[in-house]
Amino acid sequence: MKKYMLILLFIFVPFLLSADPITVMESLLTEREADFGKAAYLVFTAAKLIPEDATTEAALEMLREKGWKRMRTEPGPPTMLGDFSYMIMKSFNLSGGIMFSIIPGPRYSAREMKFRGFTSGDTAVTRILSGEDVVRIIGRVLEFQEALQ
Amino acid sequence: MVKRLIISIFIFAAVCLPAVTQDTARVKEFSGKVQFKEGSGGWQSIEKGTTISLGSTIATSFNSTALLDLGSSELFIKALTSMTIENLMREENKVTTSLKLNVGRVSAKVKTGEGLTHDFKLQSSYTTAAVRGTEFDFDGVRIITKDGVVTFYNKIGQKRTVLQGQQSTAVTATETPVSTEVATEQTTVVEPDTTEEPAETPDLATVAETIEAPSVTIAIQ
Amino acid sequence: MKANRLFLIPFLFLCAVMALPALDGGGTIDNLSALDIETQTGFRQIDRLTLWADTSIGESFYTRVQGSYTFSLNKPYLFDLERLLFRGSFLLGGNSRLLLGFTAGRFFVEDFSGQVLSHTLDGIRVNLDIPLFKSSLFFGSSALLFNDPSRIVMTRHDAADKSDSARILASPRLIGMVNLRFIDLFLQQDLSVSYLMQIDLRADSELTDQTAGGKLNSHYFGVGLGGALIPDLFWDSFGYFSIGSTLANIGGSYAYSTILSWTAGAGIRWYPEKKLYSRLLFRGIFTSGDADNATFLEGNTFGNSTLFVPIAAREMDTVFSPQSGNLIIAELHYALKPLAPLGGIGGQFQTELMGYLFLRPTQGGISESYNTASQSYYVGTEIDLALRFRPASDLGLSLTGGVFIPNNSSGGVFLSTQKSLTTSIKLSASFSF
Repeated sequence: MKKYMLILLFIFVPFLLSADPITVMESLLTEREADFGKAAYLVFTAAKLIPEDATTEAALEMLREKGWKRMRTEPGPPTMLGDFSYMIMKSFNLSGGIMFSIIPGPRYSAREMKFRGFTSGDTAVTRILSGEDVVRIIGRVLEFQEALQ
Repeated sequence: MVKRLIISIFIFAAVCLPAVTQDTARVKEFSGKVQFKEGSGGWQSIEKGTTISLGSTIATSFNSTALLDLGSSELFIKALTSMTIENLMREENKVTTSLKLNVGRVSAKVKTGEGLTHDFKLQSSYTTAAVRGTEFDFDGVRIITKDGVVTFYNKIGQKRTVLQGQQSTAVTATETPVSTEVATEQTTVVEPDTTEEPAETPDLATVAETIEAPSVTIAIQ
Repeated sequence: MKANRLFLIPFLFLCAVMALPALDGGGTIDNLSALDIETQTGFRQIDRLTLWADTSIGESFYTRVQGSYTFSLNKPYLFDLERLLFRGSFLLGGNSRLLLGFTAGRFFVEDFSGQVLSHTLDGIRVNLDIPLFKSSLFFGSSALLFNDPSRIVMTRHDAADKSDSARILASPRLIGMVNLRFIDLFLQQDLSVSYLMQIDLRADSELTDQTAGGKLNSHYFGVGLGGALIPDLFWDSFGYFSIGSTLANIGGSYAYSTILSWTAGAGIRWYPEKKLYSRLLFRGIFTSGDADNATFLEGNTFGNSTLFVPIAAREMDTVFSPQSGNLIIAELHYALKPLAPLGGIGGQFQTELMGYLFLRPTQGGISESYNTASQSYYVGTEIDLALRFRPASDLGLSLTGGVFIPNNSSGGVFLSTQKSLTTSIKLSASFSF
């Protein structure tokens, strides 16, 4: 009996821990300071870099593997505009300005995102994003990609 | 005698008091992964014809859309969107629709009819769109009117009337919705000066949450 | 060695800003190179480095500092503090829907039309927003601004100071402004109401010789209306009435005389976006003049000066750029994005053709040297072409060419020795980091 229980646990635990875009989105909408792991999950699934049933941990692991310089890789809140913008720019292969080409990183990613109309207001890299901000920005990037196609 | 009196009262009430019915939303079409939950219940997948009741939240995933029939209006929910149905009421000549766009983008077609008053309110955490017999796109901070007239409010209650072919935005909860000319100009102007000027009004979103957004009732002629 | 050290400044500033996470900062390098051809050919080159830093303190407070260094062939060292401000905003919650804010320090101030005041000043502004309107109250001064970047020239002393390289501070004035703007009051129209005042703070010790000029104090009462006419067509209009006092030379003796003057304007703009993101603009601005003025500034000789003197109107980017006062300007502009169908970077290229007609409402003087015997009202015509390109988010380029055709025919407003056909070609670049 115990053996069967253990086998069942091994089969179902991955499904229990795996994420889903709608669940992650709804969870983010309740967060005044977005969790960086969830933000990374949504960005990578939107950019089709990981499957939708991957976990937020898998998303962070992907981020570490990418090895992007000056990129945060730790989970938890808050998600800052600079890190988030940089993740979007790299995941969606968006070109930046001259300074982004010379020093790619959070600072010039945040400026580029505003220039493209994906974000508005303050471009300080330390600006904290809410869950709603994260989802809205990803939505705008997807809208831009759709228009390109 | 008493029985006759009670029956008379019931007949009188049925005839004289306005009939108030609670509408529900129905899924007309959908694509991809779309789910809904009732109140704090669990997520359920939708199908064509699924009825979505008051207080429910509907959400779409990537590359997914849904078209809802709300009776006197139609709502097209785009990808990565979450929306809650707060009120759907019909009483004789008046329809009240109140929706909360938690995040994402929607396109709405609000139907008109002679002698019909439609109080249609679509609210986001930053702005409110109040409409009369119209079609528009809304993503929480930007409104694009495709047909008819939309009144677009920020959290303070400052408004902009947005006609067909026009758009307006309010990038913070307290920023005055930009005039429809400024919104148009943003797409036509090329600015060679790269100097960055800070926003006049900061985002007071936390405090703005405590304010109930205004609504409007407009009689359709 | 000096040039290398100067180049290090933006690099070190950037390193400092990147090392302090709570602070945001950056800068811009602007270059303007211009060729002006009139009777002779002149070359202008202006390079400016601007550095800024700002930070938010909680949700309600914000502070910014911005300074610049400008190099030009005429003046190799010009430093300026452009912004030093502290801003607060408070939203009264519950359901009261009231936004209260303030800005203190050095910041940009402009009236709703830009035709009376459009200038950086030191002071404090309080603003109040309610559902129906936005309002603001400003009180400040120009006394601590540097003379070189200042554009406040209202008296002959101000004009003399502008050409005095030893003068450090700008024309000292106390300035107040109250603005009220009703948003979308009816049929998509905004109604603006404004009052401004300025008091000349020049020391009496500088005014002993009245032949060199005196003080000028003024008040301005304005109203404006504008908004959408139909979805792609917009308009605006404004009118200001001004009263005040200015030095006059009546019958050979100097005395202060009243000012009763006005300015008004209207414009219409059409945006047929489907036609390559076009914009068509037509605008007319009128500023009253005085036929009795012997000179443009403080030249009244008959009392009751009717010359409109703004505090510092918005600058015109034209070849011929006279000061406001005794002028009628009619403009027609057409702009489009000819490469927009290519998509991508094509949408960041714009061309604009501009035409200006300059007239004067009276035979009195304008701010430029003119033919005092002329009875003509036609001053001249200008045609400009601008090409603007934003190839990257941090790089902007523009090339502008213009020709001013003055009325220097026999009896014209200008003598041929005062003004001839003037051509200007300007290339400017702006890079931010």
